[in-house]
Amino acid sequence: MYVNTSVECETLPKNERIEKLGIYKFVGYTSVAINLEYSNTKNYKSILHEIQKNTTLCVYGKVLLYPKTIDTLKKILNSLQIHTDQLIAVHSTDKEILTFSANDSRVDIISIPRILDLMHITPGIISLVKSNKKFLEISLNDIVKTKIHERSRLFHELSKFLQLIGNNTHILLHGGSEDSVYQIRGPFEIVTIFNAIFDVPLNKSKLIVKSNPEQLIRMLNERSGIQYKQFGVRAIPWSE
Amino acid sequence: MHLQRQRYLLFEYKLFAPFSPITEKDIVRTIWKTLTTLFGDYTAYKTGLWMIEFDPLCNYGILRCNNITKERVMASLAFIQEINNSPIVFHTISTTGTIKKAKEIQKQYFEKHRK
Repeated sequence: MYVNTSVECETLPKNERIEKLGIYKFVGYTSVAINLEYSNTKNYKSILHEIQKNTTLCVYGKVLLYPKTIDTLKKILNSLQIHTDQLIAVHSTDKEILTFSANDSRVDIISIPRILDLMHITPGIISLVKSNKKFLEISLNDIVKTKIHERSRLFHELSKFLQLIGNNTHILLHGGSEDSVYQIRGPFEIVTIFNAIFDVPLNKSKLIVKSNPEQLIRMLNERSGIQYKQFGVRAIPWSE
Repeated sequence: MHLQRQRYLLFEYKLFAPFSPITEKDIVRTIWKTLTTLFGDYTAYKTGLWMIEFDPLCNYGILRCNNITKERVMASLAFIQEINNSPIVFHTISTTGTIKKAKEIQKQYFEKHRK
């Protein structure tokens, strides 16, 4: 079962959202984690329920935080403690924030969707992520959408990062973060890109695309007490 | 030297401008172009790429390549963004060792997913 851990469709109009989720299904995903912008007043469950109505994919929530300082991150994390049934991801290029979030038990994912931001990840952060059993989320979207001459630089940056990761591929996740429907690529294709271009062995690239997201969702289900819910199974409310 | 075996790639595609039809030639030309820009002329000739079957009505096709460069062909399919200025998304359904098996999988897949 394939899970895309970073889908941006919260703010899209209904028709576009249905089209986008349809493409995710077309390319082979079975579950998606929707990026939700943080807000004090938001009811994440109702938003996810609304999205789930339009698709047969399994929908999960991921609250994406963009903190500017550590203090703001601490405040947000304190207010988010009630929402245990959503994944919590932090996106930042600040080294202190990244180190703090790698240490904090409330954060599940450190998200780096832009490849040029990968240079801010240090070996120390990687080892913290590894020891605290969190995940680093990267995306190949930049590579797919850029033209030839810019692409080679991105290849260089990503291959440097993958060398830094080395054997710790069990902490890596691939989340799409696609802006438009044309940039969506299936899990098969992502595995082959990792294998053919970055020389990551097939078993490890499958780990990044398939096993690690599955493990993350399993972790979320255990935390929120939904142990009976399996991949591909959708809970249907009584009203339907 | 590795023994080269033939592999058949079953793929489908989704065109986002359905009223601008694309032909087999367009697809093959674009795949060759992407292969050469990504991996160079040497790998492109080593793939032994050939379009076995193409159906523009059902939006699927079968490509032949060899087992060594199979991943590269699949990766280059992923890098194609548009053909004739209309955006396109490719999806590799499966790879097989015989045409017969590829056609069987295609039938089963279409029965299941395109009722």
